[in-house]
Amino acid sequence: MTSNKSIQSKTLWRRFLVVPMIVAVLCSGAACKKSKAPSKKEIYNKIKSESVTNQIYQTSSAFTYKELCDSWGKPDVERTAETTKASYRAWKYNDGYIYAILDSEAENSVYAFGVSVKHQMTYVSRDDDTFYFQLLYPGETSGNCEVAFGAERFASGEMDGVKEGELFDIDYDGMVLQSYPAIIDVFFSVTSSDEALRKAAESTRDRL
Amino acid sequence: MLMTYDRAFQLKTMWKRLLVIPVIVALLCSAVSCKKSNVPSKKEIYNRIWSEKVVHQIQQEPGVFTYEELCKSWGQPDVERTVKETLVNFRAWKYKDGYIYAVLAKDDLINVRAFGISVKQQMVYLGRDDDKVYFMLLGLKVDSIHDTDTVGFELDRFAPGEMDNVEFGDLFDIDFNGAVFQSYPGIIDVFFSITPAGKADERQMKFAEMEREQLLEWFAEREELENAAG
Repeated sequence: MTSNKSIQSKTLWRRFLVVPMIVAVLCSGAACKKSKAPSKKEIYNKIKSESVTNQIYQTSSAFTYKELCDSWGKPDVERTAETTKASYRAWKYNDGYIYAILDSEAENSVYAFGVSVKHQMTYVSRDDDTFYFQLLYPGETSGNCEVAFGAERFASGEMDGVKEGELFDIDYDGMVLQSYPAIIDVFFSVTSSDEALRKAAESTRDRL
Repeated sequence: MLMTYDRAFQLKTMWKRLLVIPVIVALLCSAVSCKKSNVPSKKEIYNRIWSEKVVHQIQQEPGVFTYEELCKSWGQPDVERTVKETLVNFRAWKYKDGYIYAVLAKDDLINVRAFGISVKQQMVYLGRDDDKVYFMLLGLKVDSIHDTDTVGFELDRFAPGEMDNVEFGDLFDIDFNGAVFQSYPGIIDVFFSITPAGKADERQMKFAEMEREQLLEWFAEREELENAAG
């Protein structure tokens, strides 16, 4: 009986020691797995230091899109490129967006990251199904090229009451396709510059 | 008697062979030709893209045919390019006075993701620095010269010596995928060919002078920044 009691107590101690150890190992394993997705800041800095076109390639096996969402939360904007149908997912960061491009055949796989580019454009006119803007060249106040957006790319009523010459901010991947009018395949937001200024003031106030 | 029976049996087997073999061959041929027909011709792709009017790229449904099958039908591509930043592969075949290109994903050289027709534009040579060559990209709208971009290309994207004797005002044709990254100077990630096309005319030169002035200012600003950074 004494021997049995001793064995029982040993088994108990083992349990007390081994179970927390297994839990600790599992937790650290899970933590390691989680840390595979880089932070937004890491991605942002990597892009800004390595890329001239604000895009970098991502090894598809490094982490999945789901793991990225677990770490970054759900994206703020989802877009499909008009021409190639590539899937873009964008998260707000600083005063723009960080975006991930998903593999069109394996949507759980991220193949590139990018930082959005912010430019200004002035509203020119519209016809039945298209809005026309003049995209301003970076650092210039004169027009660069005319760009067209299908009306379906805006929310219903979003462009009602807009007047010629009104200024807008556009956050996009920075690529303009050469045609006349030019095409912007992917954009994350088009906001009236007044609205953009108001938001910037709000965020400054929040920081203060 | 036995010989005659054997003879008859042999004849039957021969007839069977004579009938069955061509049938099998015909079936195989038709199967092969059916498989081949999955690959569209260059003309079909060209027309499909043109019918879309505004875009010069179309998506390709995966699994319809492989890149290998495409090469069997179209031959090896004339130009291969990879976007440095995303490793997206472009394979281009000469067609009409430009190129038809296929887009392959970075690490998947089996499936064709999209097709496109190259865009042909003209550029006026502006100048160069230690590592880049700069051009004024002329807009597509024939009667407008206002929609120009200054674009820069790394020297290593040209053959050695290719840009040595080029002068300000020299005109070039560029065939590319039509995408220009909007920075100053702009960036064209993928081009299929850049070929001399004579000299810029008086009107183009007037704008090229202005663009060159702006570029020189940018050089000076950059140098100032570099000096300030030590």
